[in-house]
Amino acid sequence: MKNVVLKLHNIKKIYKVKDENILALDNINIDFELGKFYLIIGHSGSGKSTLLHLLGLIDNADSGEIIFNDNNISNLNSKELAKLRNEKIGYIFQEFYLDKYLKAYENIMVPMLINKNFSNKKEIFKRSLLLLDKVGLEKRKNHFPKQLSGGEQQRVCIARALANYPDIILADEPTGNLDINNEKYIFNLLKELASENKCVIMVSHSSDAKNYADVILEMDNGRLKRI
Amino acid sequence: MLLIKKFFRQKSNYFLIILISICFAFSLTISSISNSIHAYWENTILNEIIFRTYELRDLPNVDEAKKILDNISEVEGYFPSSDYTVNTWVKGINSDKDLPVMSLYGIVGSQKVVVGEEITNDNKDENVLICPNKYLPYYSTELRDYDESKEIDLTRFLNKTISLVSHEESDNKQKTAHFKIIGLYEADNEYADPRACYTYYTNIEELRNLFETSKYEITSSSDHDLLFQIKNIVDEEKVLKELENNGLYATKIAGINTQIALKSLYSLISVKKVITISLILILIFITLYKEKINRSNLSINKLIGYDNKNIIKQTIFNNALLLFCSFIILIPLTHIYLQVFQYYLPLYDNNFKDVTFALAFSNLINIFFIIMFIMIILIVISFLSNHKSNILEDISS
Repeated sequence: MKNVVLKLHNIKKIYKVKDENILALDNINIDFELGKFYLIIGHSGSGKSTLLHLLGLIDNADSGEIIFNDNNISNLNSKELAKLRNEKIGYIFQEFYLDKYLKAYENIMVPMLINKNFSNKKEIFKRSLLLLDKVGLEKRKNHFPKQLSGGEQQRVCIARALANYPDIILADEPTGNLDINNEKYIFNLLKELASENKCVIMVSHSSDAKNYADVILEMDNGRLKRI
Repeated sequence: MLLIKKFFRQKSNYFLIILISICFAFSLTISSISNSIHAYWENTILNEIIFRTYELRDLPNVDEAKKILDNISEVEGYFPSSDYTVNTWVKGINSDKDLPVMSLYGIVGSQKVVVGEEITNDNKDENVLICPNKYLPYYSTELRDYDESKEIDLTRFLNKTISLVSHEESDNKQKTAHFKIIGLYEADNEYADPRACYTYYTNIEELRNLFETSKYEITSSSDHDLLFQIKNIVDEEKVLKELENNGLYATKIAGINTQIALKSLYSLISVKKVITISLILILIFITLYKEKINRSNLSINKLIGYDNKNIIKQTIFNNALLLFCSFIILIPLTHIYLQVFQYYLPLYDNNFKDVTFALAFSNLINIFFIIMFIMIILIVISFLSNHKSNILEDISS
């Protein structure tokens, strides 16, 4: 039985650049399921990032519907979208975007602090340590981002993305700044997350990524096709 | 808790706290010094009788003016606008030889005391005198020449009581009054009459009554002018306004231009203004800069679910903490500044010599409100910057 968490229906996105309309997303229809690892590939300017922004609820489509857990989210206001992003989606970036003034475990606590599902700070602290343990950095909990290697920072970023038990993990070129060993580690970790019934959607240029994905999608001139 | 930790891990915040504390402590110090000096002047120099004496001239109805003055509680007293003069012999200054004629004047228009004390509210009724430091009994006002060998140094009579007697020693009804010399003025002063001593005008009136049977001159002139004194210089504005409401316009008989007398203070106040305005501009600039470099963090927070309300709460908390820390530090810092100024300022300007500088609570409240004002500006800047920020653009860049 399909376990669809996110559904895009007839999605179109047009950018206007100097009186010229550019079709960034052209009639996208796709279902994303829990427990699967999706890889989106495509050349630069093909619309990958635009798609990821829509999936991450930080951009709007010009037409079509985005269904999240059977709910159409097109009409949600900014506060409701922020709550959805906080509780249901985890983000991983190429540049990590960790707060340099916070220690590893504190960075992981940040999304949990505004999540009302956590009853107290102690619970939040415990979960941040648990997540650090999951990404193999329990001994580095008191380190600041600049005291961690690139691979370690990305693992902290993954732990932060998992903080609020999200259904969806969005990863935008997560290994773009990492060496091969760290890349393998991250891909394995993301695959493991998919096996834990999360929907992992990753954009990557890495040739190795295909070996880990359950579904490979290619963006080409705004159109999405399954490979 | 995380916000507090984050705040204290940013070196730029320490820099800002120190900058704000130093500048505001300086500003608070200058305000406190200014307050102390003005309070000192109001309680001492400006509150001397001469500076709180006013003249009402060419009165059509003197009695009516007196009634109006009687009804103003802040008015201490009034008297005709002329010097009461009593010419008298003086006994007891020198055992060998009594002094001949001494002219006694009301305190209004008195000389500046250089040794001893002034006549004040506290001692004006105690038969006190201020006299020239060199008394010249044979001084000729017409020629303004005198025999220096006959001058008498009154310094040794300071704080001693002398007897004033009516001229005619043979007169059986000869009257005597006792006065204490409490201060001496500079006899070489161009406007000084080296035979003239001064006392409060009511004493002159008493002397006039005492000597009324004698033939000696008591002069009084002008029936249409009145002099009056207010009890305290701080009530000046109120009294003058009340008189104006009754159609009376009083002029001050003597004044001090504090802008000139306290030139050093006003220079410091100008510096203070420049520093305060510069500080506000620097803070705005730094806040804008911090917002710019913090934009990606802000956008990540927005991306992971922080809404505008959360972000603004953080901004308010950060700015409040920054200004609170600065406020806490600036109080002891101001005390240190005040000690330094207390030591050094009198070396450069005598006006500061007798003044004790103290931190004024009202100035502290003013600084608190300025800090609150700055906080509001910083929050508005953060708010506008936050509204301008776009998650997509900031993440992409």
